[in-house]
Amino acid sequence: MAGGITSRWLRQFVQSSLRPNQLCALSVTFRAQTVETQSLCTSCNKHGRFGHRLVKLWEQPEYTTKPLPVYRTGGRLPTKVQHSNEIVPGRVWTKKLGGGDSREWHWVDRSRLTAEEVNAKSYYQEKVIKVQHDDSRSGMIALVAGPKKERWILATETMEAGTIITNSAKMIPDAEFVDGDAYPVGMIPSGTRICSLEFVPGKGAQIARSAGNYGTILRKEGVRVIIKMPSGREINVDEKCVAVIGKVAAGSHSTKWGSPAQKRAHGIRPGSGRKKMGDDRSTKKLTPVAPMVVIGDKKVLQRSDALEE
Amino acid sequence: MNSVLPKQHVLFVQNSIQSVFAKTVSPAVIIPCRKRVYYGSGKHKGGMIGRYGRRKYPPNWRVVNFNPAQIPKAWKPLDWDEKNRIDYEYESKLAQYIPGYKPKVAPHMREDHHDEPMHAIDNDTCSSYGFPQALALTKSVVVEGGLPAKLQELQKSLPNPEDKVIKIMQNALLFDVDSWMVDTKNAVKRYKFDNFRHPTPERYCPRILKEFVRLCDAHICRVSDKYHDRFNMHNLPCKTWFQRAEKTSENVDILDVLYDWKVSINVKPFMQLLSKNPLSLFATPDEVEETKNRELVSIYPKLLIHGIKPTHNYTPEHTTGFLETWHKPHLHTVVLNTAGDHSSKKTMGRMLFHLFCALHSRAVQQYGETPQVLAKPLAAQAIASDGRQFYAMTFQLNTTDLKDDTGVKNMVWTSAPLTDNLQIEDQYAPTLLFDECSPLLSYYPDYYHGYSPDAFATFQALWLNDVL
Repeated sequence: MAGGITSRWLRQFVQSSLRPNQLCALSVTFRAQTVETQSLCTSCNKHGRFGHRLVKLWEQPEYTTKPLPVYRTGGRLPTKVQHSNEIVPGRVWTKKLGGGDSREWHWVDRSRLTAEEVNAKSYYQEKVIKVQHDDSRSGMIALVAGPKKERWILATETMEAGTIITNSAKMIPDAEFVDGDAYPVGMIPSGTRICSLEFVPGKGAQIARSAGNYGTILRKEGVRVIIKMPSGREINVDEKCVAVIGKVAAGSHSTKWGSPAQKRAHGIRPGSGRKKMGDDRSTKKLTPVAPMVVIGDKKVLQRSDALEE
Repeated sequence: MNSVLPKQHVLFVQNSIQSVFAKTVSPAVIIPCRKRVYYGSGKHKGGMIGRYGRRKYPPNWRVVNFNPAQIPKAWKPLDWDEKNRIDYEYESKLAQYIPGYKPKVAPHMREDHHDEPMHAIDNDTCSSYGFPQALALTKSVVVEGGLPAKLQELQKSLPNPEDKVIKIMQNALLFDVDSWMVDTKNAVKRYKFDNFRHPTPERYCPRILKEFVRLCDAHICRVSDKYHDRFNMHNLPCKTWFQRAEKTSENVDILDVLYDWKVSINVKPFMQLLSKNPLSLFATPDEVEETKNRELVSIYPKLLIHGIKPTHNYTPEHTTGFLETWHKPHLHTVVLNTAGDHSSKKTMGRMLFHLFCALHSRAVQQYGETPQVLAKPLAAQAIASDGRQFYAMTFQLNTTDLKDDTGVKNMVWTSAPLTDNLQIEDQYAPTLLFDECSPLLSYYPDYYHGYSPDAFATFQALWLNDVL
């Protein structure tokens, strides 16, 4: 079961095999992610990737800039110990996982501007204290001091210690859309490159968050904005979704593994090698680009009225 | 069952049966079988020989807490929410039946609840804000030229017994009990290549400071009769609160921010020197008037309450730690133990908060709570050290009117040569008593090097100010 699992029947199978009390770490991925549960989601518990590393966020009462320790599951699912309330690793779920260097997890704030601040048309600036690599993601992160508190955010390419970045939902004359600034997508002029984009206003960034990735704003149609994602696909989002201008900083990240030792240090164990044998069984299919995705409050259902007419 | 198995396995069988039906699970439970080795040593380590093959985990793995890879429990226990949940109704019922029981009350139902929040600075958190933020909060300005001229003259004129200071240093650092005899938390490792400090600064710092005080007091007894006009107090609490406002900058519009805050400081300095007579002022009235033209440090984009946590449960009060009838009420110096603080910018902020809290509480007792420019300003001194690094600071409180950034300001003198740009960290250079001193330095004659007499000279000058 290596790789992402998105099929619906598998989700129901896993859900039925575990009791509701046991879905302590997994329930967050099944439920719709609200602003309240957003703080409990980490990159380690991404939707569909079970059995990966975990962080004890339930021990933290509020946001912290301290790095937290990362715990391994060995690709195993949680199971309940009989006659006790403890939960220990049980049966294997994902293979090719194990070992690796010990990591520290930094709590990166996904939302540069909350939905309340966007509605209130707030404006404030922050100062960058330092930029560094992160063990749990490919992009670089920046420690930023705002008016009330410090926080970690995704760093763009031109960010350095001492620069001042703006977060505004208010139209200001002579505003400069510089790398590192965060605005609602409706305010950014078309043609600019953006990263860490939201799908739903107030939910947090979901796309273009890895090293070197970016999207481009193509055009605007009233209240909706059409953006091209790093995969080449187009997406239609509300104008109140917040995005950051620029590309995500890569630093010394490279798309190729230098050696198998680097993979083992990352926590990836060797596979069967079946996919790289050169047969016709495992080949990459060339498919055309899928049509544009419209994200809104209601789901778009296919109706058969057109056929009847 | 007992007749089939050899005798050595009988005890383990009984333990396993009891553990299956008991709710408490024992860590090591061995199942009765022929030569099954889970926690083996030697050839059969981790493996098994005999009937069940090379099974590496026990079949009753749901019962046994078998974790050879030592994967810690990362998932939330099922009873974690219940254990951390507070049932306020149950607590109120317990108070009815248990005499003397203090029930836990919800924060909004407590007696000290206020609608307006108070931003609280404590002894633990006062070293996490920095010197520029402390200057802006206390409406104070740094005077260039280092310490006041009077103290610089005392540094040069007073005698400096180097032999005695070096003996104090060696006694505190070399001739101490072994660290692992005092170590109760097993934090010290007993390997050759581990970098451990013997002893720790938390152990030798208070000893060095007390010996320095003893040396200075011995000099006073030889020269003058004013030893009994002063009193040295340890761990005396001090509290005060004030109102601070800030102007909004252009276009800035932050959600749920009022630019008028209440700030409270609650500190407990390591040592406080109290005297009968107040300390003489460091600045003339003309210099105090000149501070009107100077501007405060800007920490934009931070607000003045950056990082300070607000609370709705507080009791606003002004205390100096002793009653009004105490015959030595005036503050002379404050000595701080900063063992564990690595940033010099933050220790300077900590010193400033201690001085401001002590003098502001005294000013309120003398002149009242209304914010005003003081007719007779108050002055005090501060020394901070971790046994090796020494910082010195003097402070003069000229106003308690902190609602504006305009008007007369408070004044600060520091031993470190500071420039206009206070954000640079390299300029906060402390005076070092020594570079290295430990029993591992066998290639030095007296097991230390880098000794400088400036550290004791500054300590002595501040301690003997206004006495000789």
